[in-house]
Amino acid sequence: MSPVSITPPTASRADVVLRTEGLTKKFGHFTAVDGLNLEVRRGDIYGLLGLNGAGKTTTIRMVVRLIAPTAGKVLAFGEDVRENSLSVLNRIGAMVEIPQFYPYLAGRKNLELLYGLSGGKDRGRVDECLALVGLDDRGGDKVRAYSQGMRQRLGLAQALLTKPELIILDEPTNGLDPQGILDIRNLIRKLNTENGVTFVISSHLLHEIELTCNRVAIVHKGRLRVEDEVKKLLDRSLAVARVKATPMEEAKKVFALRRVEVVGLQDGAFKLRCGPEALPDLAQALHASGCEIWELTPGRATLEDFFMAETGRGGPHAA
Amino acid sequence: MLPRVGRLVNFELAKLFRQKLPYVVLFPIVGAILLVMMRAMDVQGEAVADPRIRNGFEYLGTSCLWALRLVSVFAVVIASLSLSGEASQGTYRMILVRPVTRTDVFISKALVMAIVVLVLFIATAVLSYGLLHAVHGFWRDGSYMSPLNEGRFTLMGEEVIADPNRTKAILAGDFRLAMALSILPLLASGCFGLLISSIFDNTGAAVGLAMFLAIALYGFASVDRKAGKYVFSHSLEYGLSVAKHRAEGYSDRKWEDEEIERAWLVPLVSAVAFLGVAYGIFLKRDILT
Repeated sequence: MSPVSITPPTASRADVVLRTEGLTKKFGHFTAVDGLNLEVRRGDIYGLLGLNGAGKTTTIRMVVRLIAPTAGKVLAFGEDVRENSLSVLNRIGAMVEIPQFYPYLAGRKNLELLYGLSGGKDRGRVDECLALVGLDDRGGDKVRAYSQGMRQRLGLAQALLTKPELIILDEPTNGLDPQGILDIRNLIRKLNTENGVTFVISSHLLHEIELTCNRVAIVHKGRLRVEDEVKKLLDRSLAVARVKATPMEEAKKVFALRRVEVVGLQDGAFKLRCGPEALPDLAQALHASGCEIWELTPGRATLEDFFMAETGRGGPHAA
Repeated sequence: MLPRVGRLVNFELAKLFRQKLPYVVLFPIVGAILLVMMRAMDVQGEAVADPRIRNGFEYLGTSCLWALRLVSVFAVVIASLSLSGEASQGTYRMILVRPVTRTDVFISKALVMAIVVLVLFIATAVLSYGLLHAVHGFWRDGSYMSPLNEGRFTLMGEEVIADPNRTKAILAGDFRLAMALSILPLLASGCFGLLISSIFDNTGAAVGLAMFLAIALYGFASVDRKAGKYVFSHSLEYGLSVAKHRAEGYSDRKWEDEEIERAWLVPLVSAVAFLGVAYGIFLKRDILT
């Protein structure tokens, strides 16, 4: 099985903020990340999508050098992260998995210490970041009293402290309520458009990625399946239709005969990869083969449909 | 590197100062041990109607020995929490994604461990000396102890026996040497804790194993006195026990150059080896928590 190559031509070197080249991580005999080549460009809100265990967090950990790659390398701002970690990490903010803080310290104190660690001296910056994530009125409380959503917000605040050019967020909306998710999404967009901050967001929340990101990579079993702009992915290959027809075996034969790809099955209805223009012919063919049609709905596919197809849920590139 | 290490030390100390509980617990325990030891010696003196008047250095040696034993265990515990604590809490993810190297982090952890050990050492010495005066002070009549401000270290019954080898200056010198020899084993205990801490992601496992091994080594050194001399914690015993025996006046125990050399060399070599191995492990390990 080879990765899908619908990635557009490589961007110029100056535009690339983060690049992984053949990034591989093995734990014993298990290969968590397998020759991953990612490219994040300046100004991107880049989604890293994958099922649990796909290798997203391992990749992020290698990017911020929490773990060492078995092979390959990570280049940030054109520099090797392991060789020039200090200059590179000065320009990166990161939140890896559920953020953890010192529970016996107040949220504000945690941020002050972490900011000091990065060499920050602007005393107002901590309060600014707390306000950005909506924790300005709870900054004085000890972290042990924080809910998971508040910790998540604090995690985001610590990633913003040094005004980084690149912010890497691993599952940033974990544990947040709908309002919190909306706030974070708006904050990411604001920082991206107003301050030009590049984001890498790892998530398995497909809807969230679809709404937030402009480019996306789908990682499956440690390998890159697709990397492209979200809009292009949806426009290019995700015209789908929902067809409920019986008997289903007969309907499947018709789809196969007419080379219509079945993307999935939902509530007894087929999800087909085909545009609305193909539906009248398909209806005729089904009718001619003796199938009864209960539903035939054209629709626009979501990233979820594409993701399911790419990660072994019936797509053309599935294992 | 220095500014980064400075920031990290500041970071570590700020965390440490806010964790008051260990110290709130430790100091009363150390104080209680000192008091009990001093009182026990005093009572023993009364019970046997010991005609020999005990002197302050004898008390100081015994009480400091016990207190520093406790401090050495505390050093092992604190150090074993140092690296494993960050791993188990998942806070490495906040520290190591910042512009600091693992070398910076390790050096700062080792420095803070050394600072804590030295502060505890000094505090123990001061506390010990202070309590000695408070309990068996200059003003207290009827104590079996000869106060420190008197030079009657050779008083037996009512007689002062002339002994030019046991003057106040000599005994004070003994005590200073013994205390100086105690610093390195305490630091080595901390380095030993750091080594264990670098291996584990779980603080319970790190503290448990570190304490078990430290106590086992201590036991081994007590049982096998010949081989025990090469255990890093041995010189803690050596210096203070020699000073105490010399202050007592019963024993003809003397300082031996070879023993003194071993008393600083063994913990020094051990500390360097522990730090080297711990650093190697810390540098190579993947942070998965």
